[in-house]
Amino acid sequence: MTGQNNQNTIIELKGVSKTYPTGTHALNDVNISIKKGEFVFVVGSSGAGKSTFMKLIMREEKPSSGEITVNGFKLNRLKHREIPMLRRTMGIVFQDFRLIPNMNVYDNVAFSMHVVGASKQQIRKKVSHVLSIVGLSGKARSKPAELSGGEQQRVGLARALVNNPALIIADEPTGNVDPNMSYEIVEMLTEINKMGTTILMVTHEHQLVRDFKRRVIMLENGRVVADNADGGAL
Amino acid sequence: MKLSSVRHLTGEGFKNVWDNRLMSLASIGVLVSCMVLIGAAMLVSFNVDRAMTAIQQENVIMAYLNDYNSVRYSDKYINASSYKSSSAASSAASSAAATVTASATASGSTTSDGKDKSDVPYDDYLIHNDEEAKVVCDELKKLPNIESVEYISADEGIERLVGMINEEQAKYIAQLQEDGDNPLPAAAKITLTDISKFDESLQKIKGVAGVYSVTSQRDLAKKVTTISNAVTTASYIIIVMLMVIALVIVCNTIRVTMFNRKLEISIMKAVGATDAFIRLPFVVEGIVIGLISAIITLGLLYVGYSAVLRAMVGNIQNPVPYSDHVLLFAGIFAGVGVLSGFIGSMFMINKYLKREGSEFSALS
Ligand SMILES: Nc1ncnc2c1ncn2[C@@H]1O[C@H](COP(=O)(O)OP(=O)(O)O)[C@@H](O)[C@H]1O
Ligand SMILES: [Mg+2]
Repeated sequence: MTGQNNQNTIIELKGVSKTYPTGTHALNDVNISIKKGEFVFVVGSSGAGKSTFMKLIMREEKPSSGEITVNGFKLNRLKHREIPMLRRTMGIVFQDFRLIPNMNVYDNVAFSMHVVGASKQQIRKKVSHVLSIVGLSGKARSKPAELSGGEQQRVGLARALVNNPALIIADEPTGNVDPNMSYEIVEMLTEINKMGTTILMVTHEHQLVRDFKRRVIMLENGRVVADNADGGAL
Repeated sequence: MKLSSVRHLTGEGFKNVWDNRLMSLASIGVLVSCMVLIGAAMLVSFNVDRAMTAIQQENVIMAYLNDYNSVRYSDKYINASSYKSSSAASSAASSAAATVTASATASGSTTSDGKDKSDVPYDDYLIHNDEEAKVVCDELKKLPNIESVEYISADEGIERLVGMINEEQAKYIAQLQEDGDNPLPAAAKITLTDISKFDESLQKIKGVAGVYSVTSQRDLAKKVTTISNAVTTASYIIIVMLMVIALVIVCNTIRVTMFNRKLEISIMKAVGATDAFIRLPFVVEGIVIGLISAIITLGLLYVGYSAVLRAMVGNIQNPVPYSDHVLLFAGIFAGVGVLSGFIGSMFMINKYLKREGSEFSALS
């Protein structure tokens, strides 16, 4: 790989396999390269290895073999205490939203800035900004329980965005919101992508993938079976 | 980490103690019981130590000199009941002396110089005055394995005796002294250098001319030491076991808090909070529990010790006051409390933070 390539590549997997202690081969010899600024859907049937793929990139799991580079971090050589630095370059969106129930929308977003040591002024400025990006400025004082599933996931999105990540990782972010709301979420991710943030999103909603016409990586039995630039495989 | 963060996280730690108050209370209860036992064991040992010093050191031999008082209370004269003044008085005095042989010594020869000593012929005893007594002491000093020899005259003996007996007895003794009728013999308090040569030295001391009899508290001291060592060992074992239980309880309390906070922890990890940041509130929680326990223990032990002393008044001579050691106790309890809180919380949270895989999912 040349130095130039290296600079444009944000995620690189070379010969990556993952076998869980239970003996399950979740991924087999996966080779994927994702450039900065790309919007990538990851699809595949249940148990295909999509979540394992995402977990390896977040360094929640370690590969059994092969090499992974994310945002310039060589994950094979990453020490435990260096993991937070890697995580600060990515925004993670959870399928189950993971909002703290007794905190309002504003505090939920501010929380993720606070825990990486941002100052009060920084937090005030940035939180209002990201809440306006996801269209929730008016609901800053609401508790998560008072919001719809779609709105809750938009808070999750705001939280993932607030620390200026180069990469957003979302494993089935629309899994718990109703279908028409799914479009809204992906629409929003598209807007974020336009500002330069790389998006990696797992989904099983094929119609959505077809409509948005982005790069699609298809996994089956832990292998990449298709990798198309515009959703053409589906 | 920034100061404002430290302040905030410390506050979170205090909040955790309150939010999780049932478990916190359980931890505090166990830690307090553990530390009360530590404190009680220490108080017992302080008092035993003090009593031991009162009894006498193991390496001390009292040599009673062959003076008027030694001889007039010997079988020869007591049985003949030739001493008219009072055989009752003398037996009372000698029994008092026997109970406190510790430092109860004196010589009657000097104080009773002016008195009539016709009941015992002059040549029947060797030591007639302080000068002769001191000569014997110098002889004793020349023996091998002697660290020091302290001459205790009859007057000094009375003074020491009065400090160790109850008021009525003391009054009686004081009266005897006023009458110039001090019944105690002169003595030499001999401290040995090497306790292992005890028997050998004892024989040599007996052999010195002018020494009438010898006593030592060696056997008693040995017994008391053996018992107090056994008690100490047993209490160490109990304390260690309690410490382990306390640690387990603290760990469990922290575990419950971690479980309650697993959502926050998973978000913090996902966002890239450092381990130190995630850890701090839990460690503060552990330390706060430890400190609260230490304060409660300090108070409880004071109340308990005072009550015990009140209940046993008369049975314990001259007990060690709590205030003498309050700083030591405060230090030990704070140390034990903080350390178990710190170790317990560090252990639990590190175990969780170091775990690889599924770290964003449920805490199991
Ligand atoms: N922590 C784990 N331990 C053991 N096996 C696992 C674990 N996580 C996933 N698997 C297994 O690995 C395979 C791939 O799982 P996953 O990556 O979650 O698939 P997907 O997200 O595409 O449904 C499945 O067979 C699953 O049962
Ligand atoms: Mg999955």
